[in-house]
Amino acid sequence: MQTGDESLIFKASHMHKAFGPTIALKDVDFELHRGEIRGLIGENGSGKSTIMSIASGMQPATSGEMFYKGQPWAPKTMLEAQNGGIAMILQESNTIPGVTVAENLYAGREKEFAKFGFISMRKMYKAADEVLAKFNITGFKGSTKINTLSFETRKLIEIIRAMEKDPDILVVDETTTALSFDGREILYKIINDMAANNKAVVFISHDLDEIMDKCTHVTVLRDGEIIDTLEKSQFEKKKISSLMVGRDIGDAYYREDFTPSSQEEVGLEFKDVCSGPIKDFNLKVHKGEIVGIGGLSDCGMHLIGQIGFGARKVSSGEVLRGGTHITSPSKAIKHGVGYVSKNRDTEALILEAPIKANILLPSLSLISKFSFISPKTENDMVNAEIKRYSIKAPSSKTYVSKLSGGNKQKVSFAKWTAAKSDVIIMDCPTRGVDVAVKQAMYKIINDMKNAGKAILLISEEMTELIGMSDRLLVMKDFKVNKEFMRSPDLKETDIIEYML
Amino acid sequence: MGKEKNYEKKGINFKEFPQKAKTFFKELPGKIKTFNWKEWAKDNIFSLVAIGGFIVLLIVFSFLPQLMRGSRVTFWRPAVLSAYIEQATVYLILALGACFVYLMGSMDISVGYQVAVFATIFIVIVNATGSIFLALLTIVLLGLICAVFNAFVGAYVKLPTVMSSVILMQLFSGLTTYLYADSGFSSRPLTNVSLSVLNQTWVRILVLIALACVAFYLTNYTVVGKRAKAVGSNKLAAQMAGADLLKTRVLCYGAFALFLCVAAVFSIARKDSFGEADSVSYQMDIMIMLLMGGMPLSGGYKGRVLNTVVGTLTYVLLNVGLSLCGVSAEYVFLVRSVIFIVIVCLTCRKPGLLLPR
Repeated sequence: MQTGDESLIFKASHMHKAFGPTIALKDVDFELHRGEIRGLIGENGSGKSTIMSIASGMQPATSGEMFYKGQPWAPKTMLEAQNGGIAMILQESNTIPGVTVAENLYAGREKEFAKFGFISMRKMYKAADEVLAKFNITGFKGSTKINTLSFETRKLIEIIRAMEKDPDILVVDETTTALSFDGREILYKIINDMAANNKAVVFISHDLDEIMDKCTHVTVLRDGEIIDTLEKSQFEKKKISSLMVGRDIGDAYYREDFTPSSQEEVGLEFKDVCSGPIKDFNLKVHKGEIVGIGGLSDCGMHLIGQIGFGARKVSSGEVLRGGTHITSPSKAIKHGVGYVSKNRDTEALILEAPIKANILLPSLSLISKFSFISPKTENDMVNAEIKRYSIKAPSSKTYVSKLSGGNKQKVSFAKWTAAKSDVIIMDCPTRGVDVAVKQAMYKIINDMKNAGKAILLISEEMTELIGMSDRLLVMKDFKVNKEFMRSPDLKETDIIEYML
Repeated sequence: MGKEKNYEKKGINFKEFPQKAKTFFKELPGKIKTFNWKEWAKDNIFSLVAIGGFIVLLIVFSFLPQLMRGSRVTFWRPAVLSAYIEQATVYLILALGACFVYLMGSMDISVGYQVAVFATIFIVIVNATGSIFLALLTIVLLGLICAVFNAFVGAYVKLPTVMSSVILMQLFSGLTTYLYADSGFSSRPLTNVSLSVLNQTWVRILVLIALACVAFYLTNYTVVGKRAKAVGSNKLAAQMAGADLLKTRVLCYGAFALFLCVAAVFSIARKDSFGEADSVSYQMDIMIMLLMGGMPLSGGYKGRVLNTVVGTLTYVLLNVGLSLCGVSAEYVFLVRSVIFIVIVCLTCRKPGLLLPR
């Protein structure tokens, strides 16, 4: 590493990484300078997460060299990298369940609060409260049990835990989609402060608008290679998109029509539903209709998805599908209701299982004869879905844990198209997928609508809801605050007014 | 012609078979050449090590007894092979049944006492009525009741399934003591009929092959087998994909109960009697056998019937082989314990290996 460039904080040279037959990185050279907020963008499986996961000690490179602050750098664990000054916040949930916020924040550092081998929880809680106050986080304390917090808030705890060690490089991997509105603001402030303090941030995201808004530079990757690095003055949405995909993806993204449409027949009905904080919720999703639900992450919209699928018990009221009360996921599936969970790695997919097994699981009753399943039938079904979604994997026997985030999401989608569900509840269906996959998924959602399926689209992305829904419900404090019909004039600002 | 048309409707065209076979064999060398053996070996490391271990032991015990005790002692003598099959029979039947339970990431440590109670009840009923059918029906019903209990405790009371099996173990241990205290002997003979027909080596081999095929088919090509693996890998995701936890557990424990009943009958067949202490160590033996075969105790998709078969055959081979070498029973136990510890040490380092974490 040349010592002449004082601003150079990290450098990777000829980095190569292979996962069996899959090449994730091909001879990549990457430089990061102080004061930079570097966006890494690329399609699913392009290698953008892989570069920084190697730098932060999550996995070793197959070959190549790394330098950090002028010295050779080869951390063996994430802890070693964090102690050295490179912290990474992962896409997947990474908190310890069953313990307090403070115990999560200081995991592995308990000795700092110990005297004669006994840990003073009082001191730990106090320190945690101070840290939470420092980052303007309110609503819970250090002594709060982590299980009582939402997925979004737990993600925020991970960010604070990473920042506690005062890193010189912060890697944020697809984290913002997992954060609430307030959480995102906190993260953006942290990122800006780091850049202002002559440190560096690597921001990995699929959200092109967010990357263009927050980053000072952007590096585009495709098929394990760096295609280009652009400065802020060179940012142009269409240019970055075509660099990512390798072709012009055109302007068609969401639905092109602006007329709300649906059939008379109701696909799924919520009738005076009460469940926990949700009171007297009513909704009819018609066949051939996309009903969008938007709001802040804790407004109750995700609960509606779970209730509709029978995954959450109702205290009164009914969820009706053709006259049948949906009371459990197995009953929902039996009656043609599918559910793409937002908690992809824990609820939607079995990571330690082949792609084939994941896709088939909801369809087992459908394809079995007297409980027996023909291998030919299952192979035909799985191959058709792999082809439909262009899932990148050596074979259908590949374990889902070995796939990139976007390909995992494709598998969780494929489960329900394979099961031929007539009603599909989608909770953040395009979370963590790239622009080209998103475009393909929106086309599939639109095709589903045209085929007469009833779709409940729950999302935190306003543009997605505006672009796809026939009807859009905005929720606040567990109630529907406003209903919009599809219109070319509908803007994000119209919706945000009713969200906050 | 009618049949051909029927097959054509199902998408099967016999006329294309020779051409397809020709293309298949033509492409085979290329496929073998480009196949990623390294990745395949990595994915199947435990099964490969288990099979390798079995082959090594087989070679070792083909020569070692002769070297240690003289030229006449060899593993390949018909009498030794017959004894090997006899020992392996009950173990393998039990292990094949246990496979359904372990695939779900569950455990059953009441196996030994359940076998003891089922075998004794079977003998009591046959001696009293002369009806093998009635005796078999009784133990099958009893086994299914235990299956429902195990499944219910796991699915509704939310206790780990090992707890329900602890309860059953205590219950059946007390019942065994009661049944034998009543007779005044530590062994009960069959007096009315003989099961010696089951004691022939070829019958045992046929039954084992048939049961292994049944277990293979049920675990790989049925709804319950696929759901059992899903529950073992990720219970929540399996439920969200339509797996009914209680139903899956009842069916898997039910399958285990049926295998257990067959094992109880074969236990009696060895001497047309059953002793109080004949089966007490079975629960731990099964766990060791499954580990030896590379079956992950955490359940899931990496568990296979092949692991069960290889593990059992290796375990019994170790018993028979060491005895042939003149090693006393206590030392055989010690060697088995050392092997168990080595497997545990090698496989507990990372989650996702054999031991649950």
